[in-house]
Amino acid sequence: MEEQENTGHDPITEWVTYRLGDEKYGINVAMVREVLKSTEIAPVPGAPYYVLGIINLRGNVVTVIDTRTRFALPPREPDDATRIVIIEREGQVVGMMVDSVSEVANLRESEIEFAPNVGNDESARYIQGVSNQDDELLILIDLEKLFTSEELTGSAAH
Amino acid sequence: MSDDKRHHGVVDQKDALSVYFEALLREEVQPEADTRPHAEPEPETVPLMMPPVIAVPTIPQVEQVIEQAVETPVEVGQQLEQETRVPTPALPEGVPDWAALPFQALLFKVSGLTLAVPLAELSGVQEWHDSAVTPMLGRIEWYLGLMEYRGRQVPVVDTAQLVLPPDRFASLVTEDKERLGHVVFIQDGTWGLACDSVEDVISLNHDEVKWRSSRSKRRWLAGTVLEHMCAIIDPPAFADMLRTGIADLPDEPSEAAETEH
Repeated sequence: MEEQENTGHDPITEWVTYRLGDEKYGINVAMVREVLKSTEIAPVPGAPYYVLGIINLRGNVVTVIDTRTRFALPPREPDDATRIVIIEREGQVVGMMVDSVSEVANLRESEIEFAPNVGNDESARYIQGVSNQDDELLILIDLEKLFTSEELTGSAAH
Repeated sequence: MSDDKRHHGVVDQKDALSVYFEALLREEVQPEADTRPHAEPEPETVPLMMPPVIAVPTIPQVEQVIEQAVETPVEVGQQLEQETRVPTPALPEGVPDWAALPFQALLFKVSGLTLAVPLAELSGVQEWHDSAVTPMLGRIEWYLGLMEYRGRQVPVVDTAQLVLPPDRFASLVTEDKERLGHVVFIQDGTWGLACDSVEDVISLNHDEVKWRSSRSKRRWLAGTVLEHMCAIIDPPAFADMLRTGIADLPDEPSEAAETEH
């Protein structure tokens, strides 16, 4: 991981944090290309249920997914705080619409707790871990696993 | 079971719960009926306790099993009664290790149903606070989220959704989390079972419990206690069920629904 800082045996990683409802989530900063204000999204007929549509990002077409829907959260109308987090992995670019973006958090490895598997729900596998920050639980999303899911690669292929 | 169906959808909350619990008990009580003194000892109707009697020819073990399985002394007489003092008896099938000796169990309520968790497998109890539980991603309705317990984040589940069949759950239990009052932690504090309330601690001998010898369904249900009208959960089996999913959980209705598709 490029963003890791080695501090002895307790490396620090950086996470872009965002909100969905009352919860705070984090994604590895190395995979975040930029953060956009909510913009006009062109719907794509026949797209998976969690795909909002596509946007034109400086001449490139980027698929935007509704992160709330993707993670089985109730829908919410976009507002001034709504952001589209553009993430990239191995040349694949996808936008994730979130309620708001908070900050970049530095977490020591020792501060990250393993999130146990519960049941056989696939969504739970996208949780890399959790970390208690200022009496609030930060849920860390494993974008690698999210990216490699068939659903997302299928939707983000173009 | 016909009674059960007759009541379903018609009875009020308390009655419906009684019907469900009676069904649980009936499932366990039926083999016992065959062990009564008046009944003919039909081999196929006494799977719970009889096999060890047949398999083990030595007097002490035979006697013990008889003593545990049926209260009638049969014709073994005084000689066998003395043998009941033999230490470390072999447990009948279905009796967990923690029940080898007299044990204590904590009663807790789940939407009217009384469950018991053996203290040997209980890690602790905490009050439920909605704000203390962080929901996680996913589509598992019974998974309420993570709660801090003893310095670590522990998954907490809605016990009612797990132990009550969906059709009954829908009619008995509201989605409202206000019904939740406590969280019972099991398996070294790695799982939290949200419940309505915690009740008394009871002491039990294993022969007071109708243990389940076969658990093809409801693996979490170790046995039932008629005297306390409660179902004893098997924490390791419960934890395993939570980890792997709920494919083996109760429910005839859902299974039927699946086969329809």
